[in-house]
Order: sequence, then structure tokens, then C-alpha cells
Amino acid sequence: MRGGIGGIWRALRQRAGVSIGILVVAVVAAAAATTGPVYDAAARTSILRDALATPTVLDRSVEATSTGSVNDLVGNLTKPASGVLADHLGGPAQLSRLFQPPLQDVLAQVLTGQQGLQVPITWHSGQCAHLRMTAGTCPAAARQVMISASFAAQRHLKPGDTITMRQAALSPLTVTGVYAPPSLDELNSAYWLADPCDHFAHESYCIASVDVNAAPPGPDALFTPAATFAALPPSVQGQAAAWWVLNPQSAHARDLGTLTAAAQAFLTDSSLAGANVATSSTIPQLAAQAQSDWSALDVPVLLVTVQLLLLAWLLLFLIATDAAEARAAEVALARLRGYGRFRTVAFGLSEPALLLLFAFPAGALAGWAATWALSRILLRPGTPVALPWLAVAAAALATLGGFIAIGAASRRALTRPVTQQWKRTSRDAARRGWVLDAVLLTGAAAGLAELFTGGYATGARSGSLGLLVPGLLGLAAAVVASRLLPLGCRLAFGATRRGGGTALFLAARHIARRPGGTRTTIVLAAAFALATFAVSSYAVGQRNIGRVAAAQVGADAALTVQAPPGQDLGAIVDRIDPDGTQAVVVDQYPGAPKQALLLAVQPKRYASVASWLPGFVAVPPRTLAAALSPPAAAPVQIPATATGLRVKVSALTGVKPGTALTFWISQTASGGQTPVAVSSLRDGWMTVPMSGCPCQVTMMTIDGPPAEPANGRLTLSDLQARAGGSWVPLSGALANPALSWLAGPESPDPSCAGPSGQVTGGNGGQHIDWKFSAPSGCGPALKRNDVPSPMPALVSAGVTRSMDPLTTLGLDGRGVSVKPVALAAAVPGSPTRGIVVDRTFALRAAYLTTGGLVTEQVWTAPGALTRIRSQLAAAHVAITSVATTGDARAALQRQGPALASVLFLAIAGAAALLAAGAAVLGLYQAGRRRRHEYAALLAGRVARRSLRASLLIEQVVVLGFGALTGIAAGLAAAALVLRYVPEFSSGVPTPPLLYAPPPGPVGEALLVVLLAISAAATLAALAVVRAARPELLRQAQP
Amino acid sequence: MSGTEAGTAVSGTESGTASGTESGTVLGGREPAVAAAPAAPAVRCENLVHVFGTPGNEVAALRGVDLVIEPGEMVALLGPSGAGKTTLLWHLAGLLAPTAGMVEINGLPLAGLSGRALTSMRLREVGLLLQNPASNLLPSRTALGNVLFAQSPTRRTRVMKRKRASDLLDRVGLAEAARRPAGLLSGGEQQRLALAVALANGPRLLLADEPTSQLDPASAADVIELIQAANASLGTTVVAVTHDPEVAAALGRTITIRDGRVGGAGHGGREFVVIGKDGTLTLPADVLDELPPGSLAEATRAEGGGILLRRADLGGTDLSGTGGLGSGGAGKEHQ
Repeated sequence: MRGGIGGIWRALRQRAGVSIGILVVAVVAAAAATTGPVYDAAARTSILRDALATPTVLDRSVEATSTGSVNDLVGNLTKPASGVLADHLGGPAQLSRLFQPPLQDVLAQVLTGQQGLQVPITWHSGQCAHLRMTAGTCPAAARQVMISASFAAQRHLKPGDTITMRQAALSPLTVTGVYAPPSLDELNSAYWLADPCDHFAHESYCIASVDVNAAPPGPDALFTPAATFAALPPSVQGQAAAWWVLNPQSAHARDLGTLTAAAQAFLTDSSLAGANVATSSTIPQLAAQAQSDWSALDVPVLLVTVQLLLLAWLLLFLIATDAAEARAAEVALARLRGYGRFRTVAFGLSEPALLLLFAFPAGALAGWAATWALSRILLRPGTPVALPWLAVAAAALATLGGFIAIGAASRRALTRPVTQQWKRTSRDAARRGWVLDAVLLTGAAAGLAELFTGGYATGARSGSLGLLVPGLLGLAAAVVASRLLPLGCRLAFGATRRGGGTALFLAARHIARRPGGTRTTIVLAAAFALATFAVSSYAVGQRNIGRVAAAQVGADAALTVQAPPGQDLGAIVDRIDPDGTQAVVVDQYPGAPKQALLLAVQPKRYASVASWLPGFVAVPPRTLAAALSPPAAAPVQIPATATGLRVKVSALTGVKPGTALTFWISQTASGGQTPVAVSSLRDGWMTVPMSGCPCQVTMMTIDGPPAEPANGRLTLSDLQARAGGSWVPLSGALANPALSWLAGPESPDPSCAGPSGQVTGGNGGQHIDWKFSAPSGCGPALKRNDVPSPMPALVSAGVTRSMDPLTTLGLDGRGVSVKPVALAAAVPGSPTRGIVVDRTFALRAAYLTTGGLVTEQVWTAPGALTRIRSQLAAAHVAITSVATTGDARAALQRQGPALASVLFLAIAGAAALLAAGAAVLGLYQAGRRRRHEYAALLAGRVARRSLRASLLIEQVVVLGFGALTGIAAGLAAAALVLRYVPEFSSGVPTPPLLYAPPPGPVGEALLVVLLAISAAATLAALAVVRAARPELLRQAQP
Repeated sequence: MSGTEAGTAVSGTESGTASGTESGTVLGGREPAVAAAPAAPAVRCENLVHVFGTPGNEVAALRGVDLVIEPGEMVALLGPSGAGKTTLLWHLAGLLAPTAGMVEINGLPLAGLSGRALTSMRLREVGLLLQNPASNLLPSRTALGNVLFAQSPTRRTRVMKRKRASDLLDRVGLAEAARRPAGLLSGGEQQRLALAVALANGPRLLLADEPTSQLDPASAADVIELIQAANASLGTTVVAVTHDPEVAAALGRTITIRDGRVGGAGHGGREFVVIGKDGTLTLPADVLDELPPGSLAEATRAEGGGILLRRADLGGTDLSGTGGLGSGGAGKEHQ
């Protein structure tokens, strides 16, 4: 159109209000369409990187191992494995982008020359950079080694010394330096991937639990250059390993498929298998987890985007309708001037089309920028936010939809006969049928029905479809409500005629007759329904994320630690937190039944420190603490200086010669039970030697001939330990014997069930009368009753729903019977699989053993982490990792459903504000069109304040009705739908989740929006009435 | 080119010519071929009836209008408000379809023409000037842009359109205001610009709906003068609805529409009543005090020719059925 752009620009400026409205909505539509794919792509990368950034480096590595002659073992392993991996990834460039350079290790066991001591010798790539030298230098040539500080001390070696070796090719080895073995924290780095106990067997983290009868630990490894191995004869055998550590920050969403396929292909590569190379990796499992999270993200993002895009189009239709009416006279003029149909359409749509064309790139960029800003807050730091072609296509599609919306909105103005335009006879909107209402109501009902009948049973995808229901419900409520407002106002005609003043009289009629009122109500109600649902969904989601994070971690922070050898962590924590409110020790042992996790805790501390959220357990935590710790006999403690133990036996009957009396001793340092026997049981002092204490006497058994049943009795008195050169009584050992000791068979085997004997006391608690009885093969035993059996426990409802005793695994991996004192909907630390017992009882039941699979943690109360952490470190407690509720919450917030929820909130909020803005603008435009009418009323002596009040009432009623209808529909949708919308990725154990929208955040958000609308409406009303002057009547209406 | 000849069928959408002959000295210079007098009347209406409204709620705006306007005539349509003048004008512009009867413009019957053909006819044959100056124009465009806008559907070259537009603006005295947005012009300037726009494509029929009603006397005089100039130089037929006696006097011939019919006509300063096909006669308002509505009149042949219309006096007997007979008095004859 000739000279068109300038003319269009001037026209747009002339109709600045509507033009800006169209532009803003079109930009938002394009931005909303762009945001979905951009956000989805970025969130996918973030999720993938989160999944790959495992706490344990080995989990995100590809590992290849081989055994054989060490002289060329590592080279023969690394090169072909690298090639295979690169081939499957698409080339060496991809390999070096995604993975760090391979770490290589070769290890052989060799013997020293004189003593024949077996010593590991190893080369670990990059060793000089990762081992801290305490003396000398890192070895650089063949047959040079560096030795650990402990090895140097034991062997009295220093740099410059030599070590004679059995293998001639190795001997002698020259010590060039002494290294400090890595700490536990350093072992968790991306460098030490091999089993640390192969290289640092002498260090405490490899000897935490050692049987007193076991052999002493071996020496730490000698580190030597690779050249040392190259010089060895083929007869020297060893093992080599190589690890390719994935760099999570290099991974993009597009890499997932390649990465998964490459890892799987690597694991099954026949050429490597043929070369005796074993491969392993958990990357495919990590990738599968990421894929699962993606699926939880994709559908909600799509649905959110589509719903809001539809809303934006509806909004565009609303504004464009007003714009088309404003241009109708010009369109009529064009037709009058002989413009044909297509030329008229082009002329009529030129202005909004230009706005849409501008909105396309602007919206795409705005969407990208908004997503970028959102990603900085929500996604994993460093996640790239690109503008993929799909986002551009979506923006183009949104713009195309905008063209259609504007075309539909302008259709009436473009086709209206010129004479009707001049006569203004067709301004009333055509009557709307009930078809749309019926379709929307049916859709909403069908969506709800599917949700209620399907629910979680059909998986996350179905749950995601529930996100469509709020939109359908909102629209259905909107279309129905839009009929009610004019109807209500018509019903008020009579009342406003009889009384109520001019303002109400005018307002009721304007609302009832304004053709745009229906559209305003529909758009406002739909937008507010979605926004209310989004706010509710977000608030509920955030609250539940907080609950899940608190339940997962168990407390504000959980430090995984390792106590110094021989020290009890509980005692350390008692010392650094004497009040018992800032820290608690929690020992964890995973095991049956139903993958339950045993949590051995300090009950009173646990009650104070753990995160107890509403709904977790019905019983107050302090009551629970008392229930978990019923009275029990104290253990019989033997002091650390003890060198012997004795007991006086009298009145012995019923034993055959050769029968032994055995004391069962648990050493505090190493745990377990050690039998110490007196070979011939008789009246008199029974004395045994003692070492390695402090210890506890857990049991005494009578070991007669196994083939015969045992029946008899004896009296025990004066249980004493020899310490400091004299015998001292063991405090409380024989007091209250009937409660402190249990007579029975030694073995818990059911075949040993039967008469078990009897324990009575006498002489003021100074002796025990033990009447014993046991079947053949089952030695009679006198057990210290220092552990209630079954042990009281707080049990997750996910483990059992019965209060009957159940058997689980104790801290030593043996079965232990527990009796629920309460069932918890969620147990802090293990929401659905937790069994909480008193740590003291658990340790006694496990005979003080805390090795193997036991994880020791110290939980801290809010604000106590820093202090407790430093005091633990000062007590030489090794801290291997720290988990906080905040970190867990952040991780959950980066899961797919939470990310989708935030996107929904952001765009729905923007859409609601836009809808409100468009509604205010529409009302303002409608008011402006009436300014001649107002001028006439002013000329007729109607007070200006009445007009102002009339317009204000109209705006408040129209906006308020639409907004409140939407809010009600949104809250109803939240109440009906939220419980069906997935909030977490599959597999996340959750405590009972709460779905009632928290009134605080929801109310505040909605109040702010309503206040903003009211302010805008007031300003618009004031502006319209101010512009109405009687002088206007001298001018012709446009 | 054929489209510019009177009486030929309308088939194309283009208008005017690319011959470059528009630069005539006349207002809105038109092709020489158009200057030749067409054989058919510029306007011919036969028994034109138009009924507005919906069934059961009809309003007859035109009740059988018969009208012939020759090419080059300037005609003022007079009559009271609501008489049907504007409706008739819209029929002449092809904007309404008759309920009955027919309309021919320059020999072209409008009945049965498609919407596209009617659009083409308006583009080439008709210029329309509306009452409100602003409603003739695109306020955001410049004066020049408005004239160009009117020419936009034609196939003239860009240079020709601009030259023609400049000439038109020059003729209407708006050369200096060519670059000013139309919305910023005064009412008189806007109406002069609207005239230039109406004449942009050299129409043979200029329809004006109260062209001076919202103008001050000086501006109104300017507009009348320009209309006359267009008629004089181009032979453009002019039909203007007006209440302004000066406009009516300036246009020469007047046609008075009363109650949807042609009720009177004026030529050379003389006013005539027009007898309808069915013999109906609509009296001018200035004699209604003698023959008020509802009164009885007696028509008799006058001596020497003609008809004598005299109010009948039946001595109080009501023969009309309306009770509207006057109280007597001597009747007057109108010839």
C-alpha cells in the first residue's frame, strides 16, 4: 500500500491505546509460545546435568578394567577403549567435549626382598599433581617410588633410601619422596576412582571395623612412574583400570540419546570383551532417570503453553474487536472509494498486521529473555538457554494464530454494509448460541471424569492432562457467567429506575447493553481462573517440596561422617551439644523388609532436631522419644585398663566335668562378640584374662557336651575386673538380677525353644541364682537384659500398617525384632521406609558393631550446621558429605514438574495481568465512545460525580465479576485437580502431601492483582469523565 | 477506456486511463472521451421503492421515485428530514438494493450487478461527498495521501497518481497543505479535500450529502464554487442533498422529496409540484396552511387550461373520515 507504512504508523499513534494493547498481547502470545520450547530445552539440559552430577564421581564414569601382565596392560586397555567410546559418541571431538581425559591406574602386588612383605605398587595417571608430598619429590623415572607416611614410619625409610625387592627387574626401588594419603574428602573427588583400600589399606577409612582376631592391615601402595611397569617381565601380573569421567556441565539435552547409546554400546562392545576388557558404567541408568524427568516436564510445559497461547489469542480477539470497531468508519470509506474485497481486507487489517509482524521477533526475543532470566533462578547454574528453531516456529505459529484472531475479530467490521456503518445499526453483537457453552462444559466434565477415574493409576501422562481441566473449567465458568451479568443488570433496571440515583441507573444499563461486556467477562474469568490455579498450584507445590525435602534429609542438615577409630560418635555429639537440641547421631542401615531403612537415633535429640512437619506422626515427638527408650538394664562395663575378669561360682549342680563357663565380651572399639572361656566350671573363682577394653559383658554361657541337655543351677557372686593391680566389682552387674539378666538358650534357633531356666537374686543384689535348662545342642545362656526385645520402634506406614512386631536388620546386618510404638505417615530421614529405634539399643543389639553398610550421620538443627560442623572436625570426625534441606529443596525445584509449575505461574500471571489490562482498556474505550452521551448528560445538569460514580460502578462490577468468577473457578479447579497433578518425578519418596491451597500466598497474590485492577479502573473512569465536556456536543461524533 | 463511456457495461475494476491526459486545466481533469456527451441519462430511477426494517416493523423510505437527471445537470435534492433524500442518494451510489423499481447510472442498470461490479462502478463513475468533513477522510493520512488513497485501486502509475493528486489539491487550494495530516485541517479545508478525494478518479456523477451543512458560510461558498467548477469544466453531473437554499440556488435544478416521493421540482427559480404516476400530488409546505392535511379539496378544470384546486366547504359535514376538515372559510385554488 503506497505510502502505507507512514500512514499506518500515524494511524497507530492516533489509536495508541488499542495499538499498544494489541502489540503487548501479540508480543505476549509470541513470547508465551517461545517460552515453552526455550524453557523446555533449557530445563532438559538442567535436568540432564543434575542427573549426571552424581555425588559419587564413579557413578558418572565409564570404567574399563583388565588383568594380566602389567608391562603393557594399561596401554592395551586405554587406547582401544577410548577408540570404541569415541566411535560410539561420534568422534574424538565429542569424547573430549563430554568426558575428561581418561584416568588410568595399574596396580600389582610385589614382595620386598628380605621380609617378603607384600606391597602394592601402582601408577596412577596424574599422581604427582594429586598426592601431597611431605618429604622428597615425586618419582620421575623407572624404579623410583614414593611411599606413604605410615609406610615410611613403619619401615624407617626416607627419601634417598632404597627398598630391595624380590623381582629383579624392580630391585632396588629408590624412595624419592613421602606422600600424605588423601583424606576422605579428597577420595570423593573426580580423581580417586579406584577402590581406596587397594592403594591406602593402612589408612583409617579402610580399617574402621577390624576383627580383633583379623590380620593387621597391609601397607599403603608405592607410587611409581609408568616406566617402572614397562620394564617388568611379562610374568608380573596385575590389574589396570581406566575411567572416563563425564563432565556434566558439557552435556546438553541433545546429547542424551548419543550418550546413552554410546555407554550401552561400550558396555556390550565385542572387541573389548574379546580383549578381556571388562566394562561398567551407570550412565545409562542416569540417562534413564533424566529421560523420566523429561517426560514429567514435557507434557505440562506443552499444555501450559497451549492453554496460555489460547488465552492470549482470546485476548487478542477481544482487543482487536475494539480496534476493528474503531477503524470501521475508515473501512467503510475504503469500500466507498471503490476498494475491492481483498484490498479492503488488506486495508482493514494493515494496522494490526503490522503490529503482529513486529510482535513476532519482539515476542520471540522477549520469550527467550524471560526464560533466560527465569532459568538463572530456577535451573542448574550454567545451564545454557538457546533459542531453538522449534521456539521460533512456535512464535511464528502464535503470530499466525494472532492473524486469525484479528481476522475473526475484524470480520464484522470488514463485511458490514457501508450504509449500516453510517447508520450505526449493527453495533450489537450477534446473539451467541449455546453450542460453545455446551462444548466447554462437556469438555470440563469429561476432563474431570477422566482425572477421577484414571488418576495416578494411568501414570504421569494422565496426571499432566489434568492441567487441561483448569483451563476448561475456567472457560466453562466464564461463558456461563458472562450470561449472568447482563441478566442480573437487566433485572435491576426496575429497581434503579425507582431509586438508587443516576449512577446506578446508568451503570446497570451500560453493563447490560455494552456489547463487549460478555467478551470482557469471558477473558477475565478465564485468565483469572488459570492464574488462580497457577498460584495455588505453585504454592501447594512449594509447600510440598519443602515437606519432601525435610522428610528426605530428616533435619535442617545431615552430615555423613566417620568417627575416629575407637570412639563413639554419640559420645562426641553429647560432648559438643550438651543441651541435646542442636545435633543428633543417626546411624542408618538399609535392609528388609520392604527395603526398610533402620534409623538408629538418640531419641531425645531426634525429637528436638529432626524435621517434624504437620501430618508426619500423630504422637508428639517427645512422647515418642520416651516410648523408644524404655528402661533397660545398663550394660556391664569393663574398664579400659582391665586385664582380667572373674566371677565367684557356688552351689553348682547339674554340670559334667569339662563343662566350660564362657564370658561373651564386646569391645567398644571393634564391636562384635568375643568369647573368653574358663575351661572347667566349678565352685570357686572363675577367672579369665582380658585385653582390648573398654568392653561390655553381654552374656555368660555354660558349654557342656553338645549331645546332652543341660539342667542344673549355680550361684554367681562378686563379678569383678582386675584393674590397677586389684580386683574391683563391676558396678551394678548383679543388681536386680531378675530384670537385668535373662536365662535362656544361647542360640535363638527355634529348635532351642523350651524350658529356659530362671534367674533370681538374693543377698541384697550381691549374687544371682541361676537355674538353667536347655535342650541338647543348645547351651544355656545368661544374657544381659540391656536391650528390650522386641525393640520399640517408630515405623513408617509404608513399611507396615500393623502394630505387631516385625523383624528387620540391625546395625550389624543380623535380624532384630522391633515393635512399633507408633506408625508414622512419614519418618524424618526416610519418609516411607523408615524404622526408628534407639541407637543405644541398636548398638547393643549389634554388639557395638557399626561397620559395613552402616552410614553414620549427624543431623543438625536450623542454624547449627556451621558450629556443629567445625566442632565435629575439631573432634577429628571425618565429614564426607553434607546434605541440607535447602539443597534438597533446590534439587526438587529443578525437577520437571516443579519447573513446569513455575512456568505456568509466570505465564499465567502475565496473562491475567494482560487480561485485566485489556479489560480496563476495553472499558475505557467504551467509556470514551460514550463521551458525547456524557456531554449531553452534563449539559442536562447531571452531576459530574454521578457520571464518575456510574463509570466506576460499571468498571468495578464488570472487572470484579469477571475476576471473582475466575478466582472461584480457579480455586474449584485447584481443589479438584491438584491432587492429580504430579509434583515430583517418579520414584521420589514423599510424605503425605497437602493439597489445600495455603490461603496466605494465594490471597496475597490475588489481592495485589485486584487492587491493581481497581486502581486502573478508577483512573480510567476519572479520565473518561474528565474528557466529557458539554462543548463536545458542538462537534460531530466520529 | 471503455469504462469511461456512458452506457457501457461495467466489467473491470480499474478506472481512468494511463494515457497521461489527466493534466487538463479543469478541476479534476478527466479523459477527453468522458467529455463527450453520453447518450443515456446520468441518473434514471423508475418507481424506486425502498423499505427498511424487519417484517412487521417496516418503514418505507422511498415510495416510488421516478427521476431522470441528464448528464451535466446539477440537481439539489430538497425535502424535510426523514423524507428519503439520503436513501435516494445511497441508491444512486449503488449502496442499497431497491425493494422495488430500478436505478440506472449513466445508462447502467444497477439491479443484478454483483458486489464487485458495483464496487467498480463506484470507483469509476461515482464520487461521494459526505456531510461530516471528517468522515470523508482518513485523518491520520496527509491531504495528498487521502487523494492517493482514493486512487489506490486504479491502475494508474504512481507518477500519474501523484501528479493527479497534486493537481486536484492545487485546484481546491490545498497545495500548501498537501503534507499535513487531514485530521489537522480545518472543517472547510477538510471538505475541500473531501471534494478533491471524491473527484480523484474523475467520476461522471458527483453525489454530495449536505456538503456544506457543517461549514461556515465562506467555506460553504468555496465548496459550492468548486462543485460548480467541476461541473462546468468536466460536465460532471452533480446531485446534492441539501437544506441550504444557497446551495439549491447554485445548483439550478431542485427536486423535492416528500414522504418518499418526488414531490416537487424547481427549474430556473420556479417551483412545481410533481404529479405521481397514480395521480398523487404532494403540496409544498407553504400552501399547507390553506389546505392542511386531512382537509378536502376540489379539483376542477380552470378556464383557459389547467386545474384549479380549491378547499371544499361542505357546511360542517365530515367527508374525509379523519375529522380534519377545517371550520370553513373560502377555499383557495392552486394551479
